[in-house]
Amino acid sequence: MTETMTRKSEYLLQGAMYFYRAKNIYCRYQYTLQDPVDPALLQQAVDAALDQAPYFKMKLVREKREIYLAENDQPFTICPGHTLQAMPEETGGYLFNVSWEGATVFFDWYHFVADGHGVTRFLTRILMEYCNRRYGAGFDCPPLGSAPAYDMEALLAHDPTAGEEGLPENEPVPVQAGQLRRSILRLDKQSLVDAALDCGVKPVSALLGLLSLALQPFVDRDKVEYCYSTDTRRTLDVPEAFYNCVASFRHGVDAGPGVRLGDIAADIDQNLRASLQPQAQLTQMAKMMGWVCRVDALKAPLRIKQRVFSMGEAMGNFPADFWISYLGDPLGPDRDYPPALNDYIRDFEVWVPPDGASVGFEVASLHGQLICCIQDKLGRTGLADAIRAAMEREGVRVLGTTDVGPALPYQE
Amino acid sequence: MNRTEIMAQIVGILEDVAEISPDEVTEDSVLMDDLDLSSMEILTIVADLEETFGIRIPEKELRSFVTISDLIDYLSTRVG
Repeated sequence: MTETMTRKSEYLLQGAMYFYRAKNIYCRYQYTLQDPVDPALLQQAVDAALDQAPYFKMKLVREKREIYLAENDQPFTICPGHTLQAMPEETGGYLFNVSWEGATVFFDWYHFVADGHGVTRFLTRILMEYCNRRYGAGFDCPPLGSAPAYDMEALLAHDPTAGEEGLPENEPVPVQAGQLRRSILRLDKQSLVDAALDCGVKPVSALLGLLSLALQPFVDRDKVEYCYSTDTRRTLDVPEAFYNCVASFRHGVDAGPGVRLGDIAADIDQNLRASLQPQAQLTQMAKMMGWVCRVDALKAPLRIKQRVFSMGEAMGNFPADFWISYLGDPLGPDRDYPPALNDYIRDFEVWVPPDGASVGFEVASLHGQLICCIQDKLGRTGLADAIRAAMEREGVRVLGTTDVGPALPYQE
Repeated sequence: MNRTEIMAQIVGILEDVAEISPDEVTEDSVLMDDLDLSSMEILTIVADLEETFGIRIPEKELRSFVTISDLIDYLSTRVG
């Protein structure tokens, strides 16, 4: 079959926003297993999972003024070590990578191909295939299909800005950047749940409040602005989508001196719950994708499109003081995997560069812990202590903080 | 670079991005009303100007660009 015959435009626009960012956004999930990884078995596991999930067997082809997807007929090969590779340049054209070191498996992917929620089904499948081979776990591994691309035209009909002229009235929050530093904060999940119950809010709302209180001394105003993303698969009726399905929201909260969690939690929770409503998600996602489509339609060189895209994002309510992504269960946010898989996983980390903020928090829940992976573009030494203090003041138990080091390559 | 030279660069970009004839453009031209530019076209013009002059224009400045003269004033302070 010729390459022309395998050209696909399906799924292209769902990730197109990542063409227009100044840098490729590479994400990493890393799972630490109970024992050192057997690379031969891991390779077999990846091959088996890839056979069952053809969505990931694709490559991105960029021609002068055209970008499309084509089937990748090259074998995928795992690699040793923890180094983040450039995708697709160093991964045989694949838009993801798998490597290992000691007992840890590193899964990296280019954000174009999937969001965290979507990719997890594939990564979890690799782990299941591996555990079947390494431990005889006996997990059932049926084919992994992706939902068809959602109807972009139908989505864009919800865009309230489609016919608007003039620039948005938002005041952009400047993103400061210096020497990025990574750290991990581990929280006792039950103590956060208890703090949330005391305020009558969702645990994630309490977490947003606590991080706002911790960050406020680092921004030169009382109001702290944060952004978070919500998964829109159910709203779009594509629960099995691998591709990006996200609506992002920004909210500001007055977290000045003397403010306690109880003073702000209800407002945060109300805003969060409102953003989970289907119509709110549709409207916001339509605004985001509408902007992507308008940039995509520009007849201009890629570098001009990239700059226009970033100006539009800055004017259109992004960025913020911090970004937070609450993954929940790192093996499957919908918990649609065999619970026994948890027994083989000892630890988890997630590293996604904070594209629209000075600091980003990626938060996962595993074995009774909330694992907050923090990327601070300003490398502030006092940040971890400030977060710990804010947590402990509200009765949330901090199990530990770890300075992980500088940014991963390509995530600076 | 003086105002005339900056104006010439702007006129060239307007012609390229929005197919606006140089005869239609004066310093008093209002970008959205007189020249009928969309917000997308304005952002594209700003991106082109950044590349032409080798500067980065902060997003907070964008809403202050109402007329061609505003653009020239701003660019004069950065590259004049």
